[in-house]
Amino acid sequence: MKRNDEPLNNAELFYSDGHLTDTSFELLIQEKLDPLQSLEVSEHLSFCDQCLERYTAILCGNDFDEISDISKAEIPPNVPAKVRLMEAPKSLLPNVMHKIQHKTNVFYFQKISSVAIAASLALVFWSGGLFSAKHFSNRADHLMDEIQSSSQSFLEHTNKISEDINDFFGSLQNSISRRNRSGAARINK
Amino acid sequence: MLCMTQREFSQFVTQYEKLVFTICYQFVKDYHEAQNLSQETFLSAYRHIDSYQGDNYKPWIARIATNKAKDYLNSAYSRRVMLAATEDDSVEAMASIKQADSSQQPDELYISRESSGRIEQIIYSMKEPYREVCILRFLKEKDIPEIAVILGRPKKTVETQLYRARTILQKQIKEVYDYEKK
Repeated sequence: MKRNDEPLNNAELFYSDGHLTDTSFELLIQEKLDPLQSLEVSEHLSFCDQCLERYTAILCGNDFDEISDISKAEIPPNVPAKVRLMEAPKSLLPNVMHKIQHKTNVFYFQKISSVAIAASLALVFWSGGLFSAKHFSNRADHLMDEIQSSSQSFLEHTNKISEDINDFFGSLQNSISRRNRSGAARINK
Repeated sequence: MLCMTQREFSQFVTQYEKLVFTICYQFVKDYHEAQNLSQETFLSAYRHIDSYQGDNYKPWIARIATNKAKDYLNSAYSRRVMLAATEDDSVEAMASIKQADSSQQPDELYISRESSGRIEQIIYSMKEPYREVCILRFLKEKDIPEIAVILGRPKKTVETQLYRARTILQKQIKEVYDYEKK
């Protein structure tokens, strides 16, 4: 024989349009869903506004100020007008507030630490003269000297290359004209 | 960091703690687990309360509680399936779980071998929320984003429903196959 509080495995939990049936709400509220059914129902409630509104309306009973008229009218017949909400454990509020306080402390500690680290790094660089105007002008002078010397050496190199090319063509021209003269002398003889 | 002060949030917790705890308990049916999930619900609410646009906190906090319960039940289900597969010591069952996320599913291979009429029958006889998902995926060959749009469900929900539907399908196909062999 089937016990009264056993989950109903063959119960229709969803309509063909995908929404939760009245049976589904009844079984949920009477805590008769098996783990897989609970998972299916919770999965649906996690995205369906319409069914979530119905569920909240059922749980809050006549406390309907914030809930639409559609939900008021749609409470399943087998569910009492006002479901008695469970008493939350006394430790819930202090635990939540303690964790929030702890997280807030950690958040501010991290903020302060990062500001302190940034400030100390800035101080170290500043005392080392990294940000001083003298340091910057020295660096700039040095850089200009380097650019000047390298451009000068580049110019010298290009001058030398052009001189070499000129020499080459000059010697080539000399040898050709010498050959022409000796050829002409041989013909005259 | 927050518009709501800690004092105001403390009042918020007092106002909704019964609702949140009841939702968590109705889903998980375990006092301590419901307590943990309620705490997580309020911590999550504290983190996101600034970005909430509406003025009615009741459905908002109910949704967070439902989501927390869903995540808990989902991981408990996965653990149970893994454990059952290990206890069965069935190579097939393990393979089906390990390959659940790969592109070519064992049930799909099985489907290709089975007569399509029989498989269609099994799929059409499935219950919601798996029926429509399976029809669209296996019979109409839609991909997951398309199914999510058609059914108005989040993509991740479609994925997990398909994952569970595969396990159910495999079981049913195996039962039919075993019955026919006899």
